[in-house]
Amino acid sequence: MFAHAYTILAAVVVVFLLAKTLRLSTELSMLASTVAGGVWHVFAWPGSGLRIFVPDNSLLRHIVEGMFTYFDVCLIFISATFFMTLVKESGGVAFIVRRIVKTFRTRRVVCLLLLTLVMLIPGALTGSGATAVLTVGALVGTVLSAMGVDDTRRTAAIFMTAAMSAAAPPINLWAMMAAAGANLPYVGFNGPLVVLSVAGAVFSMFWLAGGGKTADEEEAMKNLPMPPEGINGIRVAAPFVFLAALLLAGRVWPFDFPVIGLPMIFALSSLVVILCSGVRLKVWEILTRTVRNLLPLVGIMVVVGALIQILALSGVRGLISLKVVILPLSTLFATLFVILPVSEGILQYAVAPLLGVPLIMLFNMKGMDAIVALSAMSVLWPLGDCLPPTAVVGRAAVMELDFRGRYFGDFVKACLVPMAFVALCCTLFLIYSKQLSFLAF
Amino acid sequence: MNVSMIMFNQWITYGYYAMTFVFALALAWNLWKSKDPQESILYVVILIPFVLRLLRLK
Amino acid sequence: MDRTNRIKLAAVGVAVLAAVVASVEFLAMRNYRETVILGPSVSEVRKLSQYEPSLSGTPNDVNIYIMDSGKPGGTVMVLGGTHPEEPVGPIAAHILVENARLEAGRLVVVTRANRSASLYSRNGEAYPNFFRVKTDWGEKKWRLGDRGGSPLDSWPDPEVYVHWPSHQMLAYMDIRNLNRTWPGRADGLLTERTTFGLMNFIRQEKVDMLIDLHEAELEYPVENTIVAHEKAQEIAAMASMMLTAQEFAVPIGMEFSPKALHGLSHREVGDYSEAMSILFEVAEPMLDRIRGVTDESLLMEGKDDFVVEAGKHGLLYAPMDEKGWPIEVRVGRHLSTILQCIDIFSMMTPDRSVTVSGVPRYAEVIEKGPGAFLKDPAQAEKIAQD
Repeated sequence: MFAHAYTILAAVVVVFLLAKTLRLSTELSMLASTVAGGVWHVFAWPGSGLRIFVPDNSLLRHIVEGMFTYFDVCLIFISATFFMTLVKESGGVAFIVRRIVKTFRTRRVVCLLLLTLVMLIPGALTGSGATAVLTVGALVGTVLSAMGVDDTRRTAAIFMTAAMSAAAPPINLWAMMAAAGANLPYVGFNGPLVVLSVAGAVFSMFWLAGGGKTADEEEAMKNLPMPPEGINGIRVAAPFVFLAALLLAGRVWPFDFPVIGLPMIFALSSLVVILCSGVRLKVWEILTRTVRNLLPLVGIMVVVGALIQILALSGVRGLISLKVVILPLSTLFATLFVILPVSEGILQYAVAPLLGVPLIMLFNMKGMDAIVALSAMSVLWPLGDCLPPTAVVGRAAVMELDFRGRYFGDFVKACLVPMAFVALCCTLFLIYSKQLSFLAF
Repeated sequence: MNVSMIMFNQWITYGYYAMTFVFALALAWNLWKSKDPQESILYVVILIPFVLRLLRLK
Repeated sequence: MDRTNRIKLAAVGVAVLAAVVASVEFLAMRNYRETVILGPSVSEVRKLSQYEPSLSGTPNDVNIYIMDSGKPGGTVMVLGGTHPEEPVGPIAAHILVENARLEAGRLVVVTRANRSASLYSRNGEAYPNFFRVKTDWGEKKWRLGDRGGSPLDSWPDPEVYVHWPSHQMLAYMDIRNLNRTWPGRADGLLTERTTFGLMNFIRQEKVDMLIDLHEAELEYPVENTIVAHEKAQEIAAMASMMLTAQEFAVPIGMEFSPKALHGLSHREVGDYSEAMSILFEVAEPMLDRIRGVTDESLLMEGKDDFVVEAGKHGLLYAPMDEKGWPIEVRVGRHLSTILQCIDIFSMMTPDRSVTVSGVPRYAEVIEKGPGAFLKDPAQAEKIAQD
C-alpha cells in the first residue's frame, strides 16, 4: 500500500509539473494531475473494483463528487466579492477614502490606521486577498502615494494588508476548509485571527508607509475618483449595517430567525447596495466581471476538491497525513513558517485540507490548542500569495497599482520584514497555543 | 409559528437555487464570451457542480 | 468554427459525459431502497411523522420498527444510522429487527435515524456509495452515506449553528448532524425536526433506555466504549466490566457523557426525557484520515497498513494490527453490548424488564459472520423498506 500511494503521488506531481511546463494554468494542471492520478489508481489497484466510466463504482463519480467539496465556500466567495464590487462601483469606497483623507490628512497615524481598516474589511468578509486588492487596493494606494510613499513600498503595503485581510475573521477560507476536514467546528477562531491579522496589517502598514510627508490633500483628491453626486454616509453605511444586522440576528435570535446562510446574507446585502446606490449600477456587467475576476480562485477550489477526493481514494492523502503526524513538533515549529507560505504559492487553498487537517490532528494529540494553532497557520498561508507559481494576490497588487519595478528584487524584498514579523508572531502562537487558548472564545 | 418558520426556511432554500442559477448563468455567459481556451475549460469545470446542484442530482 | 470554440465544445462534451456518469451513481444511491425483513416479534412499523408531522413527505419520515412481546415490561430503543458512514449501526439494527424475539416488554429499532444522510455520499472522502454483506442467499446491500443530512434536503447551513436550547455554538454543518441536534426543535431545519420527532416518540412511548450505535476512527479518543448519561452509568459500568471479562478480546470502556457538550444523544435524551441514554463506539479504520486506499473492502475488513503504522507511533486509541477491525467483530461487539445492557437494565428494574432472545452475540457473529443472521427477502412474509 505504501508503494502504491508513493507511485500515485509521484504521478500526480509529475503530471502537474509537466502540465505547468506546457504552460497550462495552475488549475488545469491540477485537474490534469487529478485525472492522471485517478486513472493510474484504477489500473494499479484492481482490488477496489473501480472503473473509469462504468456508472457503478466509477472514477468519474469520484472526480465530480470531489468538485462539490467546497461548493458552499464558492457561493460565499462569489456573493461576498459581488457585494464588495458593488460597493466599489457605487462609489462607496471612493467616498470613504476621500472622507478619511479630508478629515485625518494631518494626522498620519490615524490616517494609516483607517486605511488599514479599509484594506482589512473586504478580505475579512470574503476571505480573499485578491478581492481586497481589486476593490479597495487602488484607492488606498492612491492615498499612500499622496502621502509620499514610494511605489515599491506602497505596493508591498497593499499586498501585505490584503494578505492579512484574507486571514482576518469572520471568513478565513484556510481555517474553514481545514476545520471542516478535521471535524473541528469553525467556532472560536475570531479572537486569535483578529489579533494576528490586525497586528500583521498594522505593522506592515506602519513599517512600509509610516515615514513620509503629510498627505497632500489636493494631490490625493485629484487622483481619487469622484464619488457620484448625492452619495452620503448613510447610503454607504446602510449595506454594511444591514449585513451586520443579518449576521448578528442569526446569533442573537437563532431560534426566531430563519437560517439565511452567508451566501444569501451577502446576496441580500448586495440588493441593499443596489437600492442605496446614487448611480445606476450595471448589475449584470458587474456580476459577470466578478465571476471573471474570481475564475482562478473559484476554479482552484472546485479542482482542489476533486484532487483531494482522488488523493483520499488512492491513499495518498493518508500517506501525506501519516508522514506529517509522525514529525517531531520542534521540526514543525522551525519550518512551518517557510513550508506553509511556499506550499500556498504552489497549491493555493488546497494546502488547507492537505496539510492543515493532519497538522490539526497532530496538534490535538500533542495537547496543543487546535484553534489557536490553526489560526496561526491560517495567517501564515496568505503570506505565500505573492510567491510563484500562483502569486495571485501579489500579481493583483502589482497590476492594480501599476507597479513598474522588479517583482522579486523590489516588491517581494520590501515585504520581507513585515513577513518576518507575521511569521514570528504566528510561530509564537503555535508554540504557546495552549497558553493563548483564552483567545479562542 | 412553526409552519411559518419552516416555510421561511423553504423559501430561503428556493432562493439558494435561484442564486445558484444566476451564478451559473454568469459563468455560462463568460464561457460563451471567452476567447481563451484554458479559461473556457475552467468555466466548464466550474459549471459542473452548479448545474448538478440546480438539477438536484448532488 | 475556430479553435477556441472547438475546445469549448469538446470541454462541454467531456463535462457532460462525466456529469452523466456521476449522476447515474448519485441517483442510484438516492433511489436505492434497503429491504428490512420484519422478524417474528415485529408488531408494527410506524412512521416518525406520527410524532412530528412536518417530517411527512421528507426523507426523514423514517420507519420505527416496534417489537412488542404483548407482556408487561419496559421499552428499549436502538438507533442505527445516526451517522450513515458508520455501517455497523444499520447492520446491527437489521439483525435485531429480523431476529429478535421479545419475551417481555418492547424493543424499538430505527435502522436509518438520519435517512437523508444515507442518500448522499460524503464529498471529498472518496467513500464507496454502497456496502454489502455476504449471506447464504446472496448479498445484502446498504447505502453508505454522509455524516450529516443531504444538502438536497437541508440547504443552506447557518453561518454558525446555535444549538437549541443550550445556545452552544457548533460548526455550521453540524446542523445536519443528527448527533448534534438533540433534543431537536419543531420549527428547526430537517435534522433538528428529526430529533424533535424522535424525542416526542421517546417521551410519549415512555422509552426507558435509548441506545445510539456508532463507530469511530482509531485516532479519536472516545473509542471502543460506552458513553453514558448519569442515569445510565451503573448499567454502562457493569456492562463494560462483564463484556471485557467474559466476551471481548479488546476491552470495552465506559465514559461519562460530558455535561458541557450539547446536542449529543447521550446528553440530551437523558436530560430531556425519562429515558436513560447510552452511546456505543467501536473502531472503524476507514474513518481515519491517515487511512490508505479507500474502498469497500477497507470498510468491511477494517485492515489498513497506514493505520497499523500510525499505531506503531502511538497515535491510536485502539489496538490495530494486520487483522484489522473486520465487520463481524464490530457488529458482534455492538450486538453483545446491546444485549448486555438490556439484561442489566432488566435486572435492575424488574418491573420494567425487557427480555430478548434470538439475537446472536459476539462469538456467534464472529464464527458465522453477520450475513448468517440476515434473512432472504424472497422468503419473507412481511418486509419494509428504508
